[in-house]
Amino acid sequence: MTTDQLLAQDANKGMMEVWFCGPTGWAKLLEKELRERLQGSLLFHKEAFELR
Amino acid sequence: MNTSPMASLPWEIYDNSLYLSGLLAIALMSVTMMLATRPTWLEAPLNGLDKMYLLHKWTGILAVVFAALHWLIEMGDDVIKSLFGRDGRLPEEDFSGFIEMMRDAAEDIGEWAVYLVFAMLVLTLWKRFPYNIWRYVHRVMPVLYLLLAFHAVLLAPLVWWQQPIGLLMGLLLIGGSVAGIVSLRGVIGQSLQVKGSIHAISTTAPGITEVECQLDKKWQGHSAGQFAFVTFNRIEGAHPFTIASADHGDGQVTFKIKALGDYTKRLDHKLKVGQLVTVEGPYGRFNFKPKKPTATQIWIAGGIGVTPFLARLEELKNQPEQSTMVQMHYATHDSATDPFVKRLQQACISLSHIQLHIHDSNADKK
Repeated sequence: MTTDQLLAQDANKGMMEVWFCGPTGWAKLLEKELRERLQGSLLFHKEAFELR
Repeated sequence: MNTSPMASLPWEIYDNSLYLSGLLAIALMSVTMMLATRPTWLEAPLNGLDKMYLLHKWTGILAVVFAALHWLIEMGDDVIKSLFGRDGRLPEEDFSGFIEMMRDAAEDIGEWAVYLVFAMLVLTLWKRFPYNIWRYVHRVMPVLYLLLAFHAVLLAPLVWWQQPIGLLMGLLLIGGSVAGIVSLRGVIGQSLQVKGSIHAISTTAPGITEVECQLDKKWQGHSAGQFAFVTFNRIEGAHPFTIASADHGDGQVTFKIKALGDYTKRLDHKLKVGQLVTVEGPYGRFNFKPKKPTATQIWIAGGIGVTPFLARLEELKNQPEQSTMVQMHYATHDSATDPFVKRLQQACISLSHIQLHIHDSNADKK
């Protein structure tokens, strides 16, 4: 899955809201890349289980 | 903050640095203690308990950094003395008898408590230190906090208590101390704890155990995407797991647990049907409620991260009016053997507004 594939699905071509649950490293990378491409038009929700 | 207006500049800088670092350390420690009590009213502003715990971790780390700075400054007074002499320093506040004795004790206690807090930070950041031991060691933190609060109350400049800074510090110390006592009494999250028993156990895929629990009527229900702290064994304590089922109002909740750590690797051998469980929750704000209804909704799941999405898909079957268009992506190593692929495909059949995309990393490599 690439950032380009995700952006191609941005039907509204404006604001994208992502709900992510998976490996932390992947979440960070994906969020960084999407933020660079979408600027302020991204809402990225992720769980952050770090209880230590 | 000005504690010694007639001191020479080096001593003025020294005193203010000492008090400022101490103030920041105890203020952040107080916030850390209060966050540790899992206050549900803070879930909304902080976007969930998981984020609250991240904040707890970072306020704790920053508190120890400022405590280290405070200790270094305290130890550095000999350097100022040798460079600028003792003359520019204002005499210490004059106490006598019992108060002076308590202040001396507070100084010694503060020093030793700080050493232990440093050690605790090292254990916390040292990920190889076993979690099941760490969680017991970490329970000493409220005691260390109360000792440091005693140090702060007795050694803060008297003039502070007549200023807004004293009011702020007083509120933080009261909040932190109450949180410390709540923690020591072991009643954190008690109002959200519900008893129940294991209804069914199955292995849905290699290394993934599905545990279905029947909870008491006290269970208030949950939204898809929320998680709970589950205690299967009192010695092991509570562990957070995402609830993988939708809420049907009957107290049944399912957890899909992947063997990732020491505890979860041994779990399937330890559980049996009928075993008592305690579930605390629900917590979290990963609830799929669009913050911007006009935005394109994209769901991305990797491996066991699929659990909140399974719960949401199950929930949507009962809520046909929720028809926002969603692009769902699921990443797996091998779609042919991954049981979640079939589950997702079945769940999406009747949900025309969910477009499912499966990403198979093995297939991509071929």
